[in-house]
Amino acid sequence: MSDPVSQIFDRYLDQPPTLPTEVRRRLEQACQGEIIQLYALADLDASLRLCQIWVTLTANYLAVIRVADRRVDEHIRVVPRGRLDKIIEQPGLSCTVVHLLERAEEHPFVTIRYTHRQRGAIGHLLYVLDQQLNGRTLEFTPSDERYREAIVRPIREAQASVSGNRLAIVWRLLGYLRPYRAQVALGMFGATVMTLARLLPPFFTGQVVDQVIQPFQGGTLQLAQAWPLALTLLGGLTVTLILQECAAWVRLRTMAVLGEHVARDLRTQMYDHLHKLSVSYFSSKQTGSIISRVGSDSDRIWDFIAFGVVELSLSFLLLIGLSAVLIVLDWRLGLVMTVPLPILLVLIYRNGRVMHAFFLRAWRKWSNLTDALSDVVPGIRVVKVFDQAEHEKRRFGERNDDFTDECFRIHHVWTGFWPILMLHQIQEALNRLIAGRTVVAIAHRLSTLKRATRLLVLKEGRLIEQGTHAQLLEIPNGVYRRLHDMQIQLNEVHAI
Amino acid sequence: MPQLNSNEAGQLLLHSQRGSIPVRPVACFPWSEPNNYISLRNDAGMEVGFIQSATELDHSSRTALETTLRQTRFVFEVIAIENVEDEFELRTWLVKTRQGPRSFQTKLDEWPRTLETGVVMIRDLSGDLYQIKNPTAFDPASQKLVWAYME
Repeated sequence: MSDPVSQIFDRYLDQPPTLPTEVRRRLEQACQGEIIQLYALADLDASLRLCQIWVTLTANYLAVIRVADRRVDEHIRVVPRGRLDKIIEQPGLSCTVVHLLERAEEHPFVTIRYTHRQRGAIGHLLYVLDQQLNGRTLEFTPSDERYREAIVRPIREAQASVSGNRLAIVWRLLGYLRPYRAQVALGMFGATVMTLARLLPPFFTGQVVDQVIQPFQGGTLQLAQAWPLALTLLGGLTVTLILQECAAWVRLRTMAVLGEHVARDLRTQMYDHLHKLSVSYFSSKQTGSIISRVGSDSDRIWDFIAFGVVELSLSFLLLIGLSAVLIVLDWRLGLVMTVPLPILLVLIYRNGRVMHAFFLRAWRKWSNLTDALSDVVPGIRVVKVFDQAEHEKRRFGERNDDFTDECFRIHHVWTGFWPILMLHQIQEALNRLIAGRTVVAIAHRLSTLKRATRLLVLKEGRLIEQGTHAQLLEIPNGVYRRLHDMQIQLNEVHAI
Repeated sequence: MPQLNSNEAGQLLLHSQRGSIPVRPVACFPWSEPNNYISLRNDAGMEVGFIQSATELDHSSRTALETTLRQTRFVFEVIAIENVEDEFELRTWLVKTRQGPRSFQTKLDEWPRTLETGVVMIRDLSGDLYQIKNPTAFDPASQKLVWAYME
């Protein structure tokens, strides 16, 4: 496994992690065999296009070479360090130009241009040359690390210690649960019982229909026998529902309280850590952002641990459990129900990506809003003294409206788009599934059968009507038409 | 009126009776007038010349000044977005610029800033600046990628 610095280069930076071997060989050869002590990359050429120009120092020479398309340029500029007389540095917005001038010479013998990304590494070179101009020769061991550390420093400073590996972050977060193992076990037990209990009502309901209602209607089961059986099954159903609710209560109470403990521990640890940070950290961070981390971000952690982790685990458990039950009851029906699941998961993932973009926008607008607060509230006295209240109210109002609009957009998308997408996608999937095939479907919901090319209506084992949906509706007082009208009326009643 | 030219290395030189001295241009307020009020400083940082308005310079002096200012004011110009990826504390941008392809990082809670002119500026972790002159002129794929990050 590569070291952390190499990982940062691989992951984030589009430049070599060290001086390339062939470049090093060519330069040392040009410098009379002297070892390269220090090097840096100048990444802009005279046309201000990105390039790769290596600037190196040996004990006695400064050498510059360009690499283009992984090919080392033939031309190497080598200058004895003793000829350096002046260094002129011209900083810019994103380009710094450094001219190195020779003794009694107006024209620079070397001019390098580089972005701020290279500033640290080139700064080492310039420091050594500047010390040389002041009569001090620095002794140091040649190493790649000065270049590497200088380049990765901004990324390291911005990153946390767990970086690039989201799973590591999740494990670290779950580590906060370790002191509360017993409560976690109790909460998970409650959640598991609740989830498994949810699988039982359909079984009991099916038994009531299959073992009681249908036989009774068919005349094969007498009332005297039906009642005790029905009561037993309904009793089982009731116990299941009570068990489900009790388990839900255990889970909710345990995990909610546990989440508060974890959030408290996080806040304490974050606040302690804040006091260990340097002054420079606070000069580069907004107060509102830090407060938000300790306050509301830890709240989100509570939410994730109390509900998110459990809901996610149980959703998978439910999915697997239901699929297993269906396959056991009828493997063909079970497969029909479970095969679309991967499609569903893909749709959930894709929708998640869409929603992520909306939430990012909302987060950005929220940051604007809290920026306005963190600007004004600490300096509210100044605002009042200079009579800027109206201006600040207007500024806050605009940002508040902006943020609210983004939230409306999110609600519009997830409430309106998702169910329609789901229904549409399922319908589309079914249409593709049945295209070019003869499908026999048995249904009691007539809306499912509207697209069928031929409908057969069976009553008491006899075919009484057949035709398309439209044709059957035209049959006056027809069985299909009566059932259709009854379902429409039922839908209207439920809607009310 | 100052007489300016550039040497082979692109260094700006101010000609005076005492000879040529290398200078660097420094913009003075108001920055809203980028071609006006430019101070010429020597390598010790002392002002040795001042340009009220670049339009008053002769052609060659003005060209030399603009070449140097182009370096001083250089920012990357983003022309397409290839990818934007968020991770813990960092956002990685993979873009095409007029200067070549570039990958850079910003902090997760540092957002692109839209200026009054409609130009969008992004500052990376090292302090380099990236300019998007007109996000609406991006290709559809780029627009889709940056939609969440811009107005």
